[in-house]
Amino acid sequence: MNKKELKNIVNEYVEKNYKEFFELKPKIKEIDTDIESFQKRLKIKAKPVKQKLYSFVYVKDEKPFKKILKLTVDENGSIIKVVASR
Amino acid sequence: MKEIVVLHNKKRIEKFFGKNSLTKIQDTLVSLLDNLTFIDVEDGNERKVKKYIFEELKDSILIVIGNDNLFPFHRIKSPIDDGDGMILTDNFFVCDDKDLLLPEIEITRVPNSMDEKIDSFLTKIEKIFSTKNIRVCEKNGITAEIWKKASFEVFNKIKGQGEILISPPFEVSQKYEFKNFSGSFYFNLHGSDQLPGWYGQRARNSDYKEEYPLALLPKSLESGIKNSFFFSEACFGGYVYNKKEKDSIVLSALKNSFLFCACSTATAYGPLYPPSSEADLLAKLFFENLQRGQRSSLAFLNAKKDFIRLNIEKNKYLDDDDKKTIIEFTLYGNPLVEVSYE
Repeated sequence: MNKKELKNIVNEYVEKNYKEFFELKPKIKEIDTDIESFQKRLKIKAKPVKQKLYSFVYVKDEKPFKKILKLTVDENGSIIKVVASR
Repeated sequence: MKEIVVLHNKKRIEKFFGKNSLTKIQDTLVSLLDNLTFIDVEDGNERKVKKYIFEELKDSILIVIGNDNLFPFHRIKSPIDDGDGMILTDNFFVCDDKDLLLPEIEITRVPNSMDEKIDSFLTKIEKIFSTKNIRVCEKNGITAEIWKKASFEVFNKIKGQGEILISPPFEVSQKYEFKNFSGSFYFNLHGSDQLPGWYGQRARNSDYKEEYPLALLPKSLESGIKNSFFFSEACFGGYVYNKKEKDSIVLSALKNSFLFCACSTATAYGPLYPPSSEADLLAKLFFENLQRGQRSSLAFLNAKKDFIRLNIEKNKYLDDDDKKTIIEFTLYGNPLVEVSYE
């Protein structure tokens, strides 16, 4: 899936579920999924993810405080995680 | 017994509190704690001291003396492009990796407020460090209505009798009084680096009018509480930089009978619903470790390690908000408190 298609999927999801963030332009970044150092130090057995993951960050700067919505999305367009700022 | 290493910056302390103030702080700590080592960390010597700690004092507990003006936090770029820019962390002295994501040593900080005099700071140290074992049977907390299900998931795991208030309808003008309360507090509220209070938020389908009711102020926790502690998820809940006591719930709480607290120096994240992740998960792990009998700083260190392990085992990666959670959450107060539950 190319980036444009990915953006469209996320936009559609945000419009449907988090309307107050829909008008905002998200900051998109590929997530570093390297876990080698954690595995070594904490002796964790886990296979790293093979697919690419992206974060979509929506920042709504309003009073009394800024509000942030962050989505973690895989390269196939699956929304893996949605979190909000406290 | 673990060695306790007190990190201080003499020049900064004496410039702020006056001549001989460091000696007074040292004398007070010596009268309260055993097995102490003091290290003067002059500006620019941080890396040298860190190397020494990792070579010679890795099995110790670190206590940082003062707010950012007396002992600067380390600055690190926020892993999330959320407008925070640089964030403040105490992970520098306890992490050997370049990203400061793998804490290996217990650490806490005793912050001063910007309007504090030496006598008041010494009294605070005495209050915080004179108790090492507490027995609690109560719990309390406040959550934003929008995250109430996520908060119940954490609060229900905390031992003790008590309730979590929901905001709205709860707001700061309502009765929030305590009489001889001793126990755990959990706050899942909004916060800001510019404001002294923490705020609720109404749920999407809520009937309440006020979207962000003010739920807690520094003065809210001033009386009727003894030998207590809290975990707060509020954004900037632990941002004490340049703050006076009246402007910071953490500074006010540590002055008024809270022994330790864990909170964030920057924008914190959490889920809207269970299962617990980010700050919710860290809070849950912290309380679980305390309930296993671990002292406060060990419970906090192990909560971060468990947080990494659980996320990697479950998700196979740490994403940016997981990383930020590890960096920004900070322990303040007494590292040696062991909690037993009735």
